[in-house]
Amino acid sequence: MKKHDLKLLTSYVDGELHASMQSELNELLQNSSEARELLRLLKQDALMIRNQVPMECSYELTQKILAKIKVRSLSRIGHLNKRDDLMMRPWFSLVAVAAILAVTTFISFYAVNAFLGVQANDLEKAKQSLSLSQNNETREKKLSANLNALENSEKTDQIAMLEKQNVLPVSPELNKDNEKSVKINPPLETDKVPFATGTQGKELLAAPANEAFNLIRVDAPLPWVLRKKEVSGEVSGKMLAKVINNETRLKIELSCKDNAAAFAQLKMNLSKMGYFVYSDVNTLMRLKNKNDKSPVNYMVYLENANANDLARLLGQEKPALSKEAAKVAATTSFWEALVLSKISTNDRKTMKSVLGFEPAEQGGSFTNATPPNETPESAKGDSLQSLKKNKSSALAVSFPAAQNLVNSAEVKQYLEATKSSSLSGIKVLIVLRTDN
Amino acid sequence: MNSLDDNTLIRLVLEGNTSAFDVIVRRYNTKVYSLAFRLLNSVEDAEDVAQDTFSQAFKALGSFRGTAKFYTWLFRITYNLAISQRRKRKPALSLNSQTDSQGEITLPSDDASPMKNMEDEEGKSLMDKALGMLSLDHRAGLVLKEIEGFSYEEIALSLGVPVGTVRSRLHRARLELRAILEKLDKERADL
Repeated sequence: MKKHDLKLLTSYVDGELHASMQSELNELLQNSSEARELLRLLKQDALMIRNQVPMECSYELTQKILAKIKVRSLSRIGHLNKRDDLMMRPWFSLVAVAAILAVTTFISFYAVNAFLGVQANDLEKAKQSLSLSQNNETREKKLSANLNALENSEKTDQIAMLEKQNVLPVSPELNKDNEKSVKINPPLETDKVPFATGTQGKELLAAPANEAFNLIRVDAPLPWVLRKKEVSGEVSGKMLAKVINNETRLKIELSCKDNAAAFAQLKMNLSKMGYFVYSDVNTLMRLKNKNDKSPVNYMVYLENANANDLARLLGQEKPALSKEAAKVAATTSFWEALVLSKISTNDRKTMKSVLGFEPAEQGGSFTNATPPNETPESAKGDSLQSLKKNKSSALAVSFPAAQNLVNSAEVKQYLEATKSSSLSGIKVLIVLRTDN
Repeated sequence: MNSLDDNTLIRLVLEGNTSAFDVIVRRYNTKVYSLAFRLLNSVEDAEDVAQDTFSQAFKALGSFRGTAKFYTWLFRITYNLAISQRRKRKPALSLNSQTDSQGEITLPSDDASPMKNMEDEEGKSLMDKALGMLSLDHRAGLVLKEIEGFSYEEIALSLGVPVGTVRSRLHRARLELRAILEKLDKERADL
């Protein structure tokens, strides 16, 4: 049977056969017994479907449906009516148009600002690249001169100190003494350390108001991290200053664009502030190698400092919270990232593994490197500025992550020097942690 | 209120007279439940769909514009919910609970009905099974056409498809149903 013939039959059973096709169907049925038989069967099928027992909706189901509706009705209908009423108000369209205009204006304003900002940045970058290329040689010369000067001053200071203390390259006896002292003075119980409480990983601090540090998020396993997006705003700066003033022992982790320049700057700043900076040979060699572009993270353990000290330390001569100062400083900053945190239990362990001692609890003193004449006042947390008077010392060492520097000659020398000196002990510890 | 037409009842509901919706529920609950059952072949699923149908209809009543008949709009909700429900559950073979787990027909055995009645019952069971083997689209079309007596246009509105699609679906559904019935009849004769 043809497809068209089948359609005629099914359309007829459906009761939807067009009048114009009725004669065609009649002709088909007259001439085809097969068509007649199929039509009979299709009609029989339709009848059987119609004879299906109707499914009655039970009383319980009806009640369930009605109950469900009633739950909705009280809230829904009222809401619908209110909405309809609102939309019927004559002022509704005016308010709607005004709202749309306001939103559009707001978006346009920010879009234009963003566009202008990008343009300004492009111009500034172009200018910077020009000035950088021009000043590159001058800058390198200056940095090289600075490094040399600092090296010389270090060496002179070291020699002078060693001469004064009569400490020549570390003897086995000294090493033994140091190991003993570590054993005699066990590390502080972490449970009693206020920083060791379970707050690791919690973001606590905001950055200074100025963006001089050009902060980015650093994926370092530190307890507290400063985030770029939290940089702006005076409130953030105040928060930072408040926290720094409250916490006298902090760890700063930095990433910089130019290791040699950044470290030279850091050392210079420390020197200007009156801190003695000690660098081991490896560090100096590394910093002198301009081809060494591998990343270096600077961990600065900072004690007894406030926000101004921090800013000064990082080369921000104007730690003010004004945005103008921040913009100026941002262009000259070597630092790409800064993470400021309390000294945690892990940090203490690191220091212990590297140096053989731990920083003291807040308000306390160092376990192993406390000079006998340290004043209680400074131990409780004075600023770096106040410690400057006492010629506080600082230490910078570089070490691979896996290496234990407890027995490093440089560290031993330093420890011995500070232990037997009349200085007020380690107040700034700079550790250059390298990956290789 | 029972004598009021659908559009009047809907207007009353939208004006805040929610008891008017009770009339609508009582007017269409059996049709909705019946359609749901024939599409899903499950009492539980059909009850769920029936409840959800009226609940959603009540919720969206403001969007009903009255251009189509209310029951086609209601059946469309039922049909869409049945599709969703069917996706959640494994499709059943038969529309009738008188089939066993393998889908085989179980004859009534506990009454002394005459032979003709028995044949009728067998025929109905066969039709149930054959309908259950159709696709949901084809089954819905046939049910709406034969049980509800809908026109092509009404079926089109209920299923949300063009009239031409309804025509071709019904055409294929009838021929497919016939083929299934012949096959089942032959299998029964072989037994």
